[in-house]
Amino acid sequence: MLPQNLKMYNFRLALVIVFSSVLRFWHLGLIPPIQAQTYFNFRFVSSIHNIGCAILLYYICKKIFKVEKIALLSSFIFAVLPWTLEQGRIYSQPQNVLFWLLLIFFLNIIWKNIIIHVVSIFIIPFLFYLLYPQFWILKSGLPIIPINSLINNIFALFSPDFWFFKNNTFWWGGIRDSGIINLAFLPFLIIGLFQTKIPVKARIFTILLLITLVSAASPFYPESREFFLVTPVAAVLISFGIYFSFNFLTKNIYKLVIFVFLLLFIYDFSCLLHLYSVHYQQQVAGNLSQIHEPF
Amino acid sequence: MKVRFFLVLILVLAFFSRFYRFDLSPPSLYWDEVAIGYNAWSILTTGADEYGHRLPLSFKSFQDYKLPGFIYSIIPFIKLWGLAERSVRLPSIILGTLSVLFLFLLISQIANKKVALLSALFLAISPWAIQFSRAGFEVNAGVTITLGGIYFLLKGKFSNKWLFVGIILSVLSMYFYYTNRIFIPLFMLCYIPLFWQKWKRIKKELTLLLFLGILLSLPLFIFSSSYSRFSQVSLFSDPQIYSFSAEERVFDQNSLLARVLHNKYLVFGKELLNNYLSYYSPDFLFLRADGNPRHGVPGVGLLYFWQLPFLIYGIYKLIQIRNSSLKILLPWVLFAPIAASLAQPSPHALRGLLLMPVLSVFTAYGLYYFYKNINSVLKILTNTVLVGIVFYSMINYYHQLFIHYPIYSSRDWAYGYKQVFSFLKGRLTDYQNIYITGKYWRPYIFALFYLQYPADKYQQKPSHNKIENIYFGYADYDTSDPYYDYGSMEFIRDKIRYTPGSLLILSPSEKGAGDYVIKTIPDLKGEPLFLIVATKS
Repeated sequence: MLPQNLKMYNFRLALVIVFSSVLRFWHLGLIPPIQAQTYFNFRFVSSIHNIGCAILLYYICKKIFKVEKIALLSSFIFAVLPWTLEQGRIYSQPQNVLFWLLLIFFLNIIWKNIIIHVVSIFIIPFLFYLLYPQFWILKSGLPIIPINSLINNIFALFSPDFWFFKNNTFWWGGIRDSGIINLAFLPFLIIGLFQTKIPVKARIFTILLLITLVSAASPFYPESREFFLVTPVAAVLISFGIYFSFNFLTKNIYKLVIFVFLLLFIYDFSCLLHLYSVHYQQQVAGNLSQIHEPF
Repeated sequence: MKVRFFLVLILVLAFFSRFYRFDLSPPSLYWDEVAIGYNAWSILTTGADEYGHRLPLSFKSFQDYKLPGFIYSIIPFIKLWGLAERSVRLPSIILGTLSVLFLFLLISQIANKKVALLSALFLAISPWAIQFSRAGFEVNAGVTITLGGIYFLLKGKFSNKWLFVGIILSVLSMYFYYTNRIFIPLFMLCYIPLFWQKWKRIKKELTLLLFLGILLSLPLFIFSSSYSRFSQVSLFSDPQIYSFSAEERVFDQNSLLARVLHNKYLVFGKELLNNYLSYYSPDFLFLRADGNPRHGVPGVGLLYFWQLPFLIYGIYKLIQIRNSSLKILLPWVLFAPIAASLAQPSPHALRGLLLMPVLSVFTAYGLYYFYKNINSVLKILTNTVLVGIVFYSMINYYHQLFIHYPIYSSRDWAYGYKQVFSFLKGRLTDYQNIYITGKYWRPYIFALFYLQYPADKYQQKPSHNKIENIYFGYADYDTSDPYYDYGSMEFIRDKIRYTPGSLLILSPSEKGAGDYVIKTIPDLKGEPLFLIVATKS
């Protein structure tokens, strides 16, 4: 028999999975409009990987932070982030590779074994080779990018515009008025950044730095999607922020502010779904000539 | 003693950075500086602005309704040196240097002297601050008065006298630049509860002082026509922002759901937030500024690149240890871009200038805590590396500012008008008619300034088409000047072209096939800017 609270959390995780699945599978072959029927299967596989990421994130957070609520929140937030939603409904190589990276990370956490660590290091390049052939290092080797372009790209990757407001890559499923995360999550992201413990913070910053450098150094920038790999990190930080806000900011005024932000999220998310299900198709239909390959 | 010595050194550095070759970089006065100078001269000589309005609280100028603070404050300099470049720029240079002193004094109230000195140093060498201190920008004066105001408000914790000065200066700063009119009330709302325990005893006096402050700021809201300016630059007047959503709403047949999801106010609200957050964008602060060549030196950001890690560390550390100075710095950094975000385009280096001092303070804190946390061996090593980097960045900036910037930006600073009017001075009566191109925007104000045209004479019939025998053209993109008769101008230009004994000062694109060019005025890159064409006599 499972303990009562564990049952409850399993039920909630199941709800997250169902919610995530509905968001991913509903009209999967229609939205975004599919150009080649053969791509539906690829798209379907990406959706599965995307839902898998949310599940893995739950177990990773549970293992690291040992707080069920944070784990559950991370999983939920990953499921509702605009960018993960968009990438979960198209054939997305970074999405597929992210799932396997998270899986390797998870295995490394549960089996603290040097052999596993070493094997993981060797497996990762193969993963990229197999699942992400468009990864720029595999495509064009290691070019020397001018330092000012690199800095330029890093700053663009950290601009509020990119994170919260704009996504012009409709040819990769991006919705015009949405960024990586919902704007309503910004305060929780900041709180999360401050409230995580130093060792966790150090790890998060290392991961962020690595992904940022790889993304910014791409000769195809901004036509590169490696930065998608930061989405689980963002989801964890936001859930940390929400968890902290609910548990420690107990004054009524704070509660009110949190409530307002959560309402804003609901509104923002509704807008996202509406734009995606109704207007995104229009945008794609009007720009078919600019789509280089089916997604 | 040591602190004073360093402070004097920093002030000397600040003054040098702002004063050295101020007449060459920026390479000339641009239209707003010229308008400020002429209006101040007009007030001095006639008691009215260029349009004849007596002692106005907002200057119509180019229908941008300039605030009165800076214009009135340069009058003593105009009295001293006449209508000259230094009369417009020197007050800004002095105020820019004073801002460094005020920041030191202000930070001394909330932090230790080391942090205060570092803050002052970073402000003294800040490209953002230097850029706006070297030319006659109202916003620079506004920021200095604001710093003075906040300093005296903080000092007012201990004495009503200083509180009075603080409130007066804070209100005064609202007469210098628009953004202060939102920043100051918001800041006061946070500031008063902060020291409420101390002020409870002087509730009556404080109420009186606040009432006085409100009273003093009232004329600005009642008599000033600044709402017209706001409507020109306001985010809410930009039809582009809502255009996509409007189309989508039509597509959705304007249903209830469409009205909620494509709600006009929420779309503007989101854009407002986008504008607001753009002021904290690293791209804006460290790389490109706002792209306006008058607002920054190409290749150098508004802040030095090396400031970035210290800025982040400073903010992080202050929040982590819950430093009490955050009570002042946090509202400041959060409120500074609010007014600027209401305007388009955003981010805008000029409108966001209030943000600049507080970023210097955060950098100072970052450096201070960084040094506090490292051992002495590492300190020596870091000192060497850091001094080298800072020194290199400064030299690079000064090199760009003094050598390359004037060349690249001369057209953006309305270079050439001074040379045109130096040529015309003394020759005005030699020609029957003179036509000056309007391609480089509003030549009339440069004519008034450089020819020192008597203000009382101009006020009798203010016209942007003609002064005496000089006719002015207009820029194709600007057809909104109510003091300009657009209908007649092309006819007049062609008439002058074929009138013997006339002179045309044209842009290269306006040159006709048979035009006889007697002189070419190039920009600082050496490309032709003005062609002086004489018709046969």
